[in-house]
Amino acid sequence: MARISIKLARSAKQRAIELLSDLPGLVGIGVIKVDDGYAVRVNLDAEPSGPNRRKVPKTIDGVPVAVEVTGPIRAR
Amino acid sequence: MRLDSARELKHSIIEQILSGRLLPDLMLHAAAALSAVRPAGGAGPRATVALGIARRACGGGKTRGTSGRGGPAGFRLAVRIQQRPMDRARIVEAIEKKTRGEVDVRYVGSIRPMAASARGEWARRRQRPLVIGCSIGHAESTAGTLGCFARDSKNRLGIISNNHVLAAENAAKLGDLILQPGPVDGGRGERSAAARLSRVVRLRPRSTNRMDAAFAVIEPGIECDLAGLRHLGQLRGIGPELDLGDEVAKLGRATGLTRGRVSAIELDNVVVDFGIGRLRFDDQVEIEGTGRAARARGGGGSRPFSLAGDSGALVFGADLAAAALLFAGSDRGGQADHGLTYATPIAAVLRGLKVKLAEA
Repeated sequence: MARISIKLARSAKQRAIELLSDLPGLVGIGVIKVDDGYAVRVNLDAEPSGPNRRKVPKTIDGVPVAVEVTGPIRAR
Repeated sequence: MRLDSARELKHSIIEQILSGRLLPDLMLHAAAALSAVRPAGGAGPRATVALGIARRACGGGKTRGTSGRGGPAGFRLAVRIQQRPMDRARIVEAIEKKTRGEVDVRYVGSIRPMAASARGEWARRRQRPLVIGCSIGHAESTAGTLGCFARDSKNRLGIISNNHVLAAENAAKLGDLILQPGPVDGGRGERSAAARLSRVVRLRPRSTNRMDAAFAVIEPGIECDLAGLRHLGQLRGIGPELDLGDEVAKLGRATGLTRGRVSAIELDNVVVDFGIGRLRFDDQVEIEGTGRAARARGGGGSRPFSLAGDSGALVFGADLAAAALLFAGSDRGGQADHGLTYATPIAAVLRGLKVKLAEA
């Protein structure tokens, strides 16, 4: 896979927000660095159920999508 | 109920209902993470319940309230349970009856020991001059962290921290007293007076937030160490925007000095639990802890970058330049699943508060 630029990752992040803003348990969508460039990160407050897991694509416009289970985020 | 009433009720329940079943005493902020609590020692009765005080949600969240403004903040008892069956146990029923429902009961599972409480001990004590990283809080709040010093358009010197630390999640009034140390660390009345609330970026339960920030003007006669970073040197102005992989550190009231790495940037839809509801934040930075303290204990070579009480801490880069304002965190995710911390770029905070970083 070709190296993903941050510009491409930002564009994919916006697409991810459009796709996933109603996903139950969503607590953040951002940009991360991976070995060969950049990727989209989707943060969830719990392990997603099967149907919800399938709503998160593995890639968006060729940009990898990484899921992280953070648990709930609280004011500290 | 008011904070003093909640304290009285808590002590009454400890004496009458919970004797022998308590984790060490604690004070909880809002939906504060309980990883800040040390488990009971091996000897003695098995600890199953933690009792504290939590801010009462007062409307304005996604599913509750009608005005969106939430009204004045109050407090209620917080009960944290380590074993599921306790949910329905008589002890919880007894507490609910005694508090007439003014109680927030949650199952929290096992509680990890606080990574380095001793490291932050200095920060919870009285500090004069005021220093970056010390305990601070609104007189009717608990305690958070003094982030940094700044000057407003009238050149008045003040401190920056979170709205939820200095302004009790929108509930405080401009001019309210700010204490150092914060109330939960023993700050009381005029003797602990450090500043007065001057500027607040309101938290908005129904729309997107950019920051959790407030500014309080230093009281006359209170000295400040404008740039000192304990253990490290001097703060060196404002740094470049944080980038992925950047090494960062912070000084906080709960965990003192910790180090971390930027793990995600430009985070939108960050949903954070506050007392007034679940709030959404855009354009935030995510940090994972990288400290070495846990490695010696087999903890996977990292520890949390922050815990409850570190809110308001200034995040700075390896160059000791100001980078972001810490306000939230999770208990999972990141290296060794030790949790992730969320912070707002400092340039946005300074713009939002209409202040400039104070130079030494």
